[in-house]
Amino acid sequence: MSFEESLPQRRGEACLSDLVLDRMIVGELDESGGRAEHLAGCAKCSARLAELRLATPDQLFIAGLAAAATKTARRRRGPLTAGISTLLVAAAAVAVIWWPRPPEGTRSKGGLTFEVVARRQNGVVAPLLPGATLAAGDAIRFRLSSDVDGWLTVIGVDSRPSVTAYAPASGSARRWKAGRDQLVDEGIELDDTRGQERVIAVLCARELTVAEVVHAGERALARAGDPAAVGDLGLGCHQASILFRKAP
Amino acid sequence: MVSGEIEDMYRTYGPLVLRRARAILRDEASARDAMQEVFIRVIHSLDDFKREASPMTWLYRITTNHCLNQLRNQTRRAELLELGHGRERNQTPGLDDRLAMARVLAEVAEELGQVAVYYYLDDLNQDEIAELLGTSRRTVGNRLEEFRTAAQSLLAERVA
Repeated sequence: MSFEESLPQRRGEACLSDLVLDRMIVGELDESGGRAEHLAGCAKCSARLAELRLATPDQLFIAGLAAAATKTARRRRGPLTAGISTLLVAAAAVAVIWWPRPPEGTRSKGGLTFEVVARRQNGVVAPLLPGATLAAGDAIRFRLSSDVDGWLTVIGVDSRPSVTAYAPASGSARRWKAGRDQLVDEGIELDDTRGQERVIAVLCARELTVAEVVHAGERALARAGDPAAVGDLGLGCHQASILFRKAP
Repeated sequence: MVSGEIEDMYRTYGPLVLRRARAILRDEASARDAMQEVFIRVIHSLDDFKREASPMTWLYRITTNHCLNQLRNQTRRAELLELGHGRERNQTPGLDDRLAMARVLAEVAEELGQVAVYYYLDDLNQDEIAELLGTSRRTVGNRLEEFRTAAQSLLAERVA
């Protein structure tokens, strides 16, 4: 058998390549230029187009993406999942999620960079930008970079109005080492509260209790009247936050 | 860039990138890793991506290049060779043999591998490949001929 004979039979000269069909699928090419006529008359190409379309279900892809994200996180950062205790705000646990770099718009203050990464119910994993909209059932995790060691607490201030401790859920603030792109263990699944929510990371030089930070958040919310207007908690700590909106 | 743009990009192009990576790498886990790496590159080169007349064509190129680099990875190549030894005893290797294809792509020069993927895997004709790579049809033809020679030599080594 010759080299060429060992190869699959090539498509006909007039037939459309996968690249052309892919470009049609994503809308880069329309059916002009004889493509519509060819597809109408060529069972092989029309079947291939249908096959390529069927081969691209969003949900399957997105599930794969999430799995890949988890795998990459483990490979690059070590066993992130070990010892993860997931805080349940509404119900279920959240998979480890990872994203390669802080997005534009991450709020920073006092050597603290705070990033919220969201996994939507459709499986899409992406960094959250200020003002983004999430829905009940979407999950979020937190990633921080800081120049200094300290004691970390993450709280959520929402429109009910209420303040919830996300990390840790209670007790003392968590000891936090300076470093870049460190993921906080807890994952949060959002409940069905609508409106704006501000997630605030507080990194303090002294060991606060979570209750102190929550109370400071409650006072700030009472003063501001709106999560969007909540600013410094008055704790004398490094603080960074991001505001997003929760829709049904 | 807003997160909605990232999502839209995934939805539009992600499945196609994944399919392409699967076709070249022939390994689900590697293909998913490749897809993620490709999108990281897209995000880092977003201005280039947006300026492209055909983002799909651009993605074809960078996915192909990334996957070929993966195949060249020494560890992966060793795995493929190990797997290939188990098969070659009873089979005549041809380029339609996926392990043989992977091995050949891992061995040949990058520009030959690119042309071979577009020609044999994507079934593009030489004009289409020339347009995609921004080169001449003659160059594509020459590279294909070089690839055939290299492939035959490599496959002959396997059965020797």
